[in-house]
Amino acid sequence: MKMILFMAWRNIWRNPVRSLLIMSSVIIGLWAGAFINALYFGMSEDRVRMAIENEVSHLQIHHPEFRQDYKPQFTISNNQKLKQKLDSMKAIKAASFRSAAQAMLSTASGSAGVMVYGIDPAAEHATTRLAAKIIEGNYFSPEKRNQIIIGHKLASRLKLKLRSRIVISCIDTAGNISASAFKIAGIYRSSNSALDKINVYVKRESLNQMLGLHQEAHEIAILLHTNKTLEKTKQSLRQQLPMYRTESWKEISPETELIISTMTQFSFIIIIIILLALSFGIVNTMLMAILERSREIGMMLALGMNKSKIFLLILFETFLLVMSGCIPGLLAAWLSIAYFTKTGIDISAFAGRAMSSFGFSTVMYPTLPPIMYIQMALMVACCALISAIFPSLRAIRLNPAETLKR
Amino acid sequence: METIIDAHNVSRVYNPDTVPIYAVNNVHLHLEKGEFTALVGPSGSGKTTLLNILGGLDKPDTGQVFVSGIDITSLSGNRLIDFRLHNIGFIFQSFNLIPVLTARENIEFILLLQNVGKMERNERVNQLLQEVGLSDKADSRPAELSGGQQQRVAVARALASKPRFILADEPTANLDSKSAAKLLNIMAKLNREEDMTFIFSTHDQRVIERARRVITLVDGKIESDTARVHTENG
Repeated sequence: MKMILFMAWRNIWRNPVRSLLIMSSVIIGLWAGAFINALYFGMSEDRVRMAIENEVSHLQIHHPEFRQDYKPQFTISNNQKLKQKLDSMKAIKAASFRSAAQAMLSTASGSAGVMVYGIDPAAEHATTRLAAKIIEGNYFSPEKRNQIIIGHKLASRLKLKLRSRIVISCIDTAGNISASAFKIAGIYRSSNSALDKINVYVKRESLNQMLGLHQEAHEIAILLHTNKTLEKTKQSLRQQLPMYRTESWKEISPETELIISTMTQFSFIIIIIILLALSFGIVNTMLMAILERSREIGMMLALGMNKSKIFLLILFETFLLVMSGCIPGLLAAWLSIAYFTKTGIDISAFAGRAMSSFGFSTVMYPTLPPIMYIQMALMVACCALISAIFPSLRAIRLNPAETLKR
Repeated sequence: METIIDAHNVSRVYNPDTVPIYAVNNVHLHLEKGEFTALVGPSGSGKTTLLNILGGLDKPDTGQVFVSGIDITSLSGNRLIDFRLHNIGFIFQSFNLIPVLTARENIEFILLLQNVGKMERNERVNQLLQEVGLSDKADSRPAELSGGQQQRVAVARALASKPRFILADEPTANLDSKSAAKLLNIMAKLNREEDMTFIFSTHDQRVIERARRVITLVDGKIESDTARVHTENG
């Protein structure tokens, strides 16, 4: 076995240019595959982080029927007690109690359907960092009443400016239309431009007053310290609050989960395409090597090297050739990914609008977990072994008498 | 005397269905231990084909070949390869050393295939290198050796497995006269001192002159089989 390995390694370097070409193609292919994977993975992680931090948080609690048609009477009560309970849970970083209503926003020049959230400004900022997204004007002032914060997309669509007056009208708990005037205090920009067209924020007491509510809320958005405790915390809250529905971001935002799983599938498809292309190159190279060395292989068969050893020789040769490219390829990928993880890749100049309209950041931070490097190395190793089978079979089928005549 | 090769009615036909060409035609051959036999004849007379059949590299269409009583025409696949490994040594016209291995490793290659232990392997390789006069070239690769030196390594490799006989297909064809003479001296010495059986196919008059038996093939048939008496073949 040692001798076969030794011969296989030396055989690789008989034609260094050809071997280096194959190694280079493995290095480039693997680097490209790993980097694309890292981009997809980074985008997925970023999308999840943004969905959690800016949109849905880790967990949400609702009245079981509220999300069916957003009727204002389906509320969460005993908020003070509930807040104390949530504050006592170590996994929870922040929680925002919101009231919510589907409403019509009207101005002198037009109107638009919106989702109005009644929030506690401090708790909302702690949960979704809303104040940090203000690009014009200010966050809610404690002294002022009937302030509203709207998204920049909505502002540009309705040509609204700071301090513009708008009217919000919605259905209250009694089924009557309730309307109230607000003054725009701030305009925000989130990384999801679709939501910037729809979501508007007022103080909770203002919205509750319109809806005919007191201290109730419709939604509790919960931010955890880490996504790792998601399932455990969800189960714990479901046990403690059986009368409400506790859902994770995966259930509330299935499109985010779908995007991630699609990206994962895409990245695997890309890797498979790269490996397939590599396989053809490897098979071609090895067949050429066998054709050139058919006399030598025939001689080894004549001398008494049995077919399984010849098979192993070609198998090892292919494996060593490919793995000699695999290791530097993954190393190059790791180095470049590590560099761009720190600096990021700003694509705002050519795809910024498209990215943000799908809820993605315009600066991409590629990242690849260590297990993915191991998975890729294993996939390449399998590819090398599979690619070696055909040339190895060709080698053992050589007839020594025929090849020695050549 | 111990019989090494016994071939009966051996024929090898190419294109049997269209225009049959008899490369070997109904050959009977009996070789005993210690023979130093030359297989001669014009090009295309069937020397190499017969040698391949005797070495188990090719199968006859008819007839049987017994090597030390074993019918090698009935062996196939790895059993035949294994038989060759332990019983037959080969020397080829164009040396056919493994280019990535040194002279030492080329000889050792056969012993490794035979699973010989490290100590015995080293001892045997050193002894063989000494016998062919290449101890100083042990670590040279084939490309660093002259044709004559490469062929001497091939002789050492053929001897490494302690075969029953050695088949040499035109061993001196690619050698200059000095190298050819040196090689012949080594083989003759091995034949004389170790009773090693050699069968050559050759055109080379120098080899023919040293042979103790000359078999002439014409159109695949044995035309003559002459025993010669030498006082010394070295």
